[in-house]
Amino acid sequence: MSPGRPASAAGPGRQQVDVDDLYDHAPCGYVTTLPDGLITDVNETFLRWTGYDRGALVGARRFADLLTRGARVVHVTHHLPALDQSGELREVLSEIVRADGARMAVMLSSTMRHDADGRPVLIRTTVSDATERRRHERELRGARDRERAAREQAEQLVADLGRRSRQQAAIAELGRLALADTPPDTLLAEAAAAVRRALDAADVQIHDGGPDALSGAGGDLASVPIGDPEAPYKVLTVLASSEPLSEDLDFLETIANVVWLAVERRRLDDRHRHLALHDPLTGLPNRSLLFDRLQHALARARRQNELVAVLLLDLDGFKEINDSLGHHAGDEALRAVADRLAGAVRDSDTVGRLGGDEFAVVCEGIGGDEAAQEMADRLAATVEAPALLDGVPRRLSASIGLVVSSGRTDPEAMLRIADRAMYRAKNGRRAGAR
Amino acid sequence: MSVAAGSQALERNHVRLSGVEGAPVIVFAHGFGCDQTMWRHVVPAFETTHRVVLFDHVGSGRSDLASYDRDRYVSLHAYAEDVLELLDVLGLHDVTFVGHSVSAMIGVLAANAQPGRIGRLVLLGGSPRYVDEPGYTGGFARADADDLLEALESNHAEWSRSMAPVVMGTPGRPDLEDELSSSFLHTDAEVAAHFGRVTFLCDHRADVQRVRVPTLILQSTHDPIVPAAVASWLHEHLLGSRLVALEATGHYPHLSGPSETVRRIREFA
Repeated sequence: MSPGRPASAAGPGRQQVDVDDLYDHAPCGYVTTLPDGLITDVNETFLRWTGYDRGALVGARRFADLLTRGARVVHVTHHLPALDQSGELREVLSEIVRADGARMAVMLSSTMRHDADGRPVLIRTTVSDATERRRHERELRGARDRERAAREQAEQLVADLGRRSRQQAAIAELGRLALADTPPDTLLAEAAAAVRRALDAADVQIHDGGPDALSGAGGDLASVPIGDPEAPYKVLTVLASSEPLSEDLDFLETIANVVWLAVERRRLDDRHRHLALHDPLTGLPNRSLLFDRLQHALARARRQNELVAVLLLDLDGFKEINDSLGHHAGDEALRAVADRLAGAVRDSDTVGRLGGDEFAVVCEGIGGDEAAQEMADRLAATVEAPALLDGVPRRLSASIGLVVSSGRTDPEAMLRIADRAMYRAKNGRRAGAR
Repeated sequence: MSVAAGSQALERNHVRLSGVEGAPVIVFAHGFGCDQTMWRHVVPAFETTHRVVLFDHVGSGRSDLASYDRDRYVSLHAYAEDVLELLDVLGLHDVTFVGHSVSAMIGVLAANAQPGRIGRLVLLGGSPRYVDEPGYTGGFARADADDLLEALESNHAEWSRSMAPVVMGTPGRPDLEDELSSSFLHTDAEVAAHFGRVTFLCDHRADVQRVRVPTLILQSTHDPIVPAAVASWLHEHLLGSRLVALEATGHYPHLSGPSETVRRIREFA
């Protein structure tokens, strides 16, 4: 026991108390230090708990040095300033390293004693075992961390739901546009805008496919093919502000699918329309399309005070070709004539196949009878160039009926007149040949 | 800078001016876990000869906690910027900056950024790197950071808040309770933990070697946080610095030996 401890005393009516015994064997440790932390006294309980000899501590060690290095920093930077300011420290958790190196969680309470001039003289500290409290603290912190994690998860879920509903709305809107026969270019632009809104992505592009476009994917970049992945019609690329989630990729694929189905349907529609209006053998406009073109040409001629010519061509001796060389050669003859006619007319003219071996050409804005006649001569000449039919060279020819109108005729009448003219030509040709 | 933004910076850092107007300026910057009141035994000695500037770093003392931005205060540079901003608002140049503990490095960063603003540095118990590195003794292992953070969080403010009504015995006076819990540990536990992490894991050894203003290094006897080897390292690597070993002990020579601390600073500034 160190000298200078208060002597045991007994108050009136009170049993004499062994203060030394109470001090040394109290259920908590007592440590007295100078203001700079140098230990001046400790009780037996503290020595027993920590395993140090009195001589190793008193006058030799500073209290902070008994703490783990991490706890020491907090003690020095947080607890001592608090003690300095308020004169006391209540129940702070810390950790002591015992003589055998084991750690011990402790709760510290300190008071600062000052001299008459208010200068700090010494610090008294009680040390109690805080293993339980620390366990409790850890549980508390664990619970707090778990609660925070759960809250963040819930917030994320709500955010995800919001994202999902935005994405679903975008898909529904795009589907509506697709069903409303929106042209592909408009639909692509709408798809890009919808993705931009739903993903809050700054950079959304729809560009032509190709291996280069796809190999750029990676990082925060998501690329989804529209159409066949091997040969995409277009590629939808998103540069997102954060790594795209797998749900976002599902969304992009759905968008790409909606767009692709609409584009594909539109292509099929176009194909059907083409088939309905064109001759499958030669690819030329068929009778109904030619009729339609003629109707428009006549209307325009009327409005603009121009002339329209119709030239009706009928191959001579076509039946004979079919009979002698076969249908295959006949088809070859028709395709050859179609190609030659298409190559001989102006861009504004329409060449069509009316059926069988009968072709028609509608010439808009023709100068007059003379120009129409020149056109007829040119067409006759181009048909008459030698052709190889199934390997056999043949010379073809056509009889041509020509009508010129200022537009005040209906298409049926015009074709009828042209037809008659053509027959006259054919008969004349036969008569001439005879 | 506008007047409003200027006064905002002064309130943000709870800036307090005293001493002689127009006299040489001395700025005292507190360390980790403390606030400007830690300078109370030192300040009176300078108030007769200097213009004295005291402030609290954001997240400490009576600073504006609302200004605390985790994303901004990820390094000591943000604190150095705050110092330079408030000196700018006050129109002060060529000041003597006394930085304790973590503020020593904040002073280094500020002086490197604007040497005209910070004319002299006093580094009191500072360390450029707390964690040991090959060929460098900082005094701590990286694993100590975990103990430190646990110790910080163990005494988080939630405890002091729950204790406040009991201690004060004034459940009907929430204003007093707020006062108590705000002055108890002075900082929000999360802010303290964040500041602790930033401070403990920083490495400003390269910045120290760039300092070009006169510097005084004060190292107390037996600083439990900064080993003497760190002061020697600073002296060796800081061009033209002076190293003075104080008789005062502990991490707070300005508390344990204020008159010696004042004398050493006076000799320099």
